[in-house]
Amino acid sequence: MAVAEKAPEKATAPSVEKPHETPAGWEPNVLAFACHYCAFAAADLAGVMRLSYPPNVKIIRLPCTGKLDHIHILRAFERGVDGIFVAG
Amino acid sequence: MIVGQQKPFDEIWGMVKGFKKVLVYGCNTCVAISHAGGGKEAEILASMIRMKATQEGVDMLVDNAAIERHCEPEFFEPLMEKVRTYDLVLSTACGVGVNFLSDRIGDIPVYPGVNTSFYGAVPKAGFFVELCGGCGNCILHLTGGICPVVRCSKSLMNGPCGGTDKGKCEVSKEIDCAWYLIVERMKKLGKLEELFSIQPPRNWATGTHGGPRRLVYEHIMELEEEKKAGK
Amino acid sequence: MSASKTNKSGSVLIVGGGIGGMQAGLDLADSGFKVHMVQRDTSVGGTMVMLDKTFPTGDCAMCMISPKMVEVGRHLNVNIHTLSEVTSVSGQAGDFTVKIRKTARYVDPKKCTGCGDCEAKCPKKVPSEFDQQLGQRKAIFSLFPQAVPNTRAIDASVCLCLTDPQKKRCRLCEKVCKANAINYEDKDQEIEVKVGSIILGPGLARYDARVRPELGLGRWPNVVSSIQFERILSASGPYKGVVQRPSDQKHPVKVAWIQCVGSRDNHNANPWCSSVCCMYATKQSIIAKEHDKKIEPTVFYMEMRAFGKDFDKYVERAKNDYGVKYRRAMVSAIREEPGTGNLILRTAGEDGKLSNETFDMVVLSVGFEPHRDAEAFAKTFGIETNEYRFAKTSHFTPVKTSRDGVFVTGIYQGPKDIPDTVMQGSGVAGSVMALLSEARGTETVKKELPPEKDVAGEAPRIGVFVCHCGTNISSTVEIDQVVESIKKEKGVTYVTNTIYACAQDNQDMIKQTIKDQNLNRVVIASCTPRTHEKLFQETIREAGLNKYLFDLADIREQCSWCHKGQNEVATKKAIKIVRMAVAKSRLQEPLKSETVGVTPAALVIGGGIAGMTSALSLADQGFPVHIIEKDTELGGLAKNLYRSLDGSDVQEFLAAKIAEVKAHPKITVHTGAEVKKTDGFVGNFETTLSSGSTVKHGAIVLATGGMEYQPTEYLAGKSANVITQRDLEKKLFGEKLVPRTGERFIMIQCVGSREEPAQYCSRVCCQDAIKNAIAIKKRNPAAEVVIIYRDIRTYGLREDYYKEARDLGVLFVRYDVDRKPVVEQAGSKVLVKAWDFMLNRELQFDADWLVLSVGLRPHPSTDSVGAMYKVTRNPDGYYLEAHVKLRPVDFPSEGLFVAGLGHAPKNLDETITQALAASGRAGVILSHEKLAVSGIIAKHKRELCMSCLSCLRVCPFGSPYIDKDGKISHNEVKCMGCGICAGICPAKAFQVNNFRDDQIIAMIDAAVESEEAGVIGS
Repeated sequence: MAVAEKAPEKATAPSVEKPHETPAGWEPNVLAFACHYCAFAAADLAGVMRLSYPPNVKIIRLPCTGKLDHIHILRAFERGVDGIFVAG
Repeated sequence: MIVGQQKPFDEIWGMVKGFKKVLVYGCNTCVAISHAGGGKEAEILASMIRMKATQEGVDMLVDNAAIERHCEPEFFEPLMEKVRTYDLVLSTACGVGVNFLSDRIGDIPVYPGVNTSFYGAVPKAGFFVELCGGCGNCILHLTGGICPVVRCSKSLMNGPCGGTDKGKCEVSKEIDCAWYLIVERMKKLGKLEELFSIQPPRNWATGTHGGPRRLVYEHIMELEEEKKAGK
Repeated sequence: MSASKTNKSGSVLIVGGGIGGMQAGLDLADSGFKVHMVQRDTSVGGTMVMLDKTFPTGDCAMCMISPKMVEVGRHLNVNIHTLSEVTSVSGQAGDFTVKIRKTARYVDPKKCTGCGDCEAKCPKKVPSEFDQQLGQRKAIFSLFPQAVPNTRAIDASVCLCLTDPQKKRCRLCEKVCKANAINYEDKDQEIEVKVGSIILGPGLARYDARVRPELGLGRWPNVVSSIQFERILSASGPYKGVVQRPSDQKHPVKVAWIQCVGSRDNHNANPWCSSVCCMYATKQSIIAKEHDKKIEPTVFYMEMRAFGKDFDKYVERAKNDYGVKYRRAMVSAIREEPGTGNLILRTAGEDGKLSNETFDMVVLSVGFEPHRDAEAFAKTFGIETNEYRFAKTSHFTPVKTSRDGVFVTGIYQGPKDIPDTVMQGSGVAGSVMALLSEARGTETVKKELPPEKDVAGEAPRIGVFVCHCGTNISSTVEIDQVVESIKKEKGVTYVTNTIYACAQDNQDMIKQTIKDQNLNRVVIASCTPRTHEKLFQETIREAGLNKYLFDLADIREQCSWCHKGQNEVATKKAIKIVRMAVAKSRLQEPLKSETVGVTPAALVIGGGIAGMTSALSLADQGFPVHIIEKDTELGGLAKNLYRSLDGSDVQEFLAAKIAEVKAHPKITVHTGAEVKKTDGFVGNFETTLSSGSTVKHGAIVLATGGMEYQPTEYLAGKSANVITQRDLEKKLFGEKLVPRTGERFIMIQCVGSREEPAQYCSRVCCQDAIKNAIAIKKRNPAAEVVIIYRDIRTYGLREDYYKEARDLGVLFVRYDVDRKPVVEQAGSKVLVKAWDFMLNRELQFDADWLVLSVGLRPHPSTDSVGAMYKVTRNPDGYYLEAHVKLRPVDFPSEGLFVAGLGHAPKNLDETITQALAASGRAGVILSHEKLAVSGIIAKHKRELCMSCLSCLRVCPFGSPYIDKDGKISHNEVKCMGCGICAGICPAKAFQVNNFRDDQIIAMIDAAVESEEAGVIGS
């Protein structure tokens, strides 16, 4: 490409929320987006091996984590989900 | 194509935080292609503003919508009544769209959510590069298709300055020297000798220095006038 | 294909359910053949299922193989006979009769749902063979959690009931099984099947290192075999992936790998090289380090045989990025340090110096052997074996045994890694398709389905079935609460519970309920969609519903099993999971699975050995084939080859191939031709040639070949004494040169290989050098040959020739890349100086001939052909296959296959195997009259699209394209439904069926509804 390829300026992100104390006994509500082929299979395996983890994680299966859209994450946060785990 | 970039979120929050009812208004043409202000980005931005408002304890309603283009009235006029129910329109169109919509609405503020960056090409996904400055007086036929107005940091018209260094610009090693590229290209085209003719001092009046520019095609305008007159 | 009358059977027997057998089985079953798979274990899977990760990509072995196992297990035309062995074979190619003895399983597979309640209750524990004695299993057991079939089996030798003469003891499994599947009276039985062809893939045995007490396996607890270490690394292994010592569960720091245990050893063990140990030791040391950063791995080795694609780079990464130490040294003995459990290794370095070093743990890289009863096995099938009990094959027919119609795949043919096994799997499938082409489709079964009910526009009427899974779910999740709660959900018209949703009687119940309740959507809350979605989809389809009107809520693997004892929260979570599924279900729409026709013809680009082999195999399968060759004649690089390593005449073979190709009525050869462009997609390509003529075809094989590196180093081109191995081969075999007494040949290896800019092994040069060296020495033992090498990579059974060369008096001198030999012209000879690491001094030779072993390069057309078909090339310029391990001849884009040197350097027999594999894979496509397109694909809304090209640029499958009108269109046939386009599209013009944004958002909302109010920041 004969175009002058100057490194593009990085898009800016909003400032990060300041960390704050969590009340005692507070359990985060976590939503996981998992690729059908790997991470979802891993979640299955965790069950098969009877590995225990907190029940406040729910999994949404995607055909590939490439399918994940910004709005899925934002929607979940807007609805009060505390953490999102994308695995694929 | 016009390339835009979303403004830093903190700046946007600073603009919108005093309003109660905000419409994030996307434009689905140029800025959508540069992933800055299309319907998708408007939806994302609206969500982020809502969350920020919740965090800050600000009571605010934020919606999002998008139309094909902000720079032609037929696209937004049918929706004007709804748009007027908001007390702020945060347009993620380019500067043209923000100006134009603002002129037409008049009594509700239209704020920009996007910085209009440049006219550019998309060499690969996620990479945009400026190639034209819209100067109004094109000389690309003389420079092998490489524009010295925007691609030379000094907009030099008659060869490189003394800062050219192994094909790179003295401003930054990441910028190619436009005149180096021009010479190489002219060699390839077998037209190197054409560069020996000196360009006269340039008429910059066609650029932004002479006030806002207009372009009028009377024969096209007439057609619409005739239609309106019922001819 | 129309099935004409034939005496040949359309069934195939596959002995062995490892990855090679499964690949062959799926290729055959997918292309119109009935497959009987005989497996000695209780499950298919073979060796690969025991592995944690695989080299050189670090992919999880189970994640890759598990979907294949599920596919084999569910395939209508694959009949798996587990716990079975073949007792006799009679008949001939096309018409074999095979007797199979099936050992009693004591669990009825028709009734068993695989819930595992019996295993949980069984009181008898024995050491687990699968975990290599490091863990335990029960008397009623599943070989591993993902076993296929998932029916448990009782080990009669340890079961308390079956070892009791009255069968009165215990019987706990019988009591706990709600499906009444336990049958203590089960008997062995013998069945007979008729097949047209037999594929042998019985797999391997591992060298038993306990034979060598000096290494301490079985004596010192912290000395483990490499397969034990594999289980230690595995997250589902005995230590759950924590690297710890068996003696005291301490985390080891210094870990040693000892290579060639049981391999390359004529005295104590096997003379051959096991081909994979260098790489798996590298992998294990990298993975160990990834599991525990403190680990310091050291690999003690003789020669680093990283001969495969990207293997050398992997070893470099191990050294540079992971700090793995490689030491060229022999380990003579291992002693345990009293009291600590540490191990003292006595090693002899290259210079002969002895030293001691202490390690916390030692891994013995044990080699491969033919499986234990290989001799009896060969007798049963009436095939010849070589002296080492491996099945005998030839260089030119690498998957054919000595008996017509009997083929071999995997390690029974010789030690090899997974991709080579998979290639052979598809290769035997291709060979069988050619052999039995006229019987294709004669014995397969097809399911008849009722017409689909039109539910478009109807309001959702969702039926929800909540499964107890015996007690697997119901002991943790309160099923009644789930049922009651879900009844209140919008759109749900019917909710019930069921003991086993997957059991046959309950399947019938579900079908009946769909009719009785007029359901138009079904949600089953049970186990994982990965194993059960297809089953339930078929169930509702049999009841007349579109199969995409189904969703599975996984409340077992992802709820009850991981929240045992927390019934209240687990029940709450289960309700949420079902609600999420219902939310998605409400928005489900019937999806049409489109079909496209197939042009049953193939295009093969390249007329070398790979291209011709592929073309012949496809033509024998009955498909017209067009070979496109740039050159004016067929033959490719093999035109310069005279002998294979085993002495076979390559020129004769090549001439025969060319004649066969030219005479074949189904093959059209286009020489002096190139492809100008190809339009279309899998099953429907149209190619324009440089001549202007066009060809229609359904599949493409890229066999564009390679070429030899043109050397400029070591006086190449400047001295008449300096030639290449190819020149020497021509002199020896073409011009029948007899070397003079005292005539000295010096060979330098790795010229243009294993160094930037070609940081890879060319795989063939060591054997070429040894082949020529042996020929020289045999013709005149008084001629001298010195091979100056970096590592001699005579992998597998090729090791014999390395030994033969040494025995014939060929000298081997090792050099290091930092200390390369130096060459000068000295009158009529050349002077070669090389550093000898054993003697620790420089050696000088004057040579009559300096023979350079030059490396391989991809053919220059690889790049342009690759660009034309949008297939990726790796940094070395070779085509990048769809998956390094399990799809070694496929490309990500369907309908395109690769064979030969364009894929990577390889030997002639390997090229032939890969070419057969490509024809097997292509045969799967071409044998279909129509190809079904998956329902789960991205849908493109053209009216929203602004042709920004984001999708076109990111799609890995090339399904979006610029249409004739200059705007983006979407070819759904190519789409794999990953949804990357949907993620990036700024216009939201793409939505993936059944994973639409509105459906995902509905699931997100359902996941948080009625949750405590948003607690962000509070």
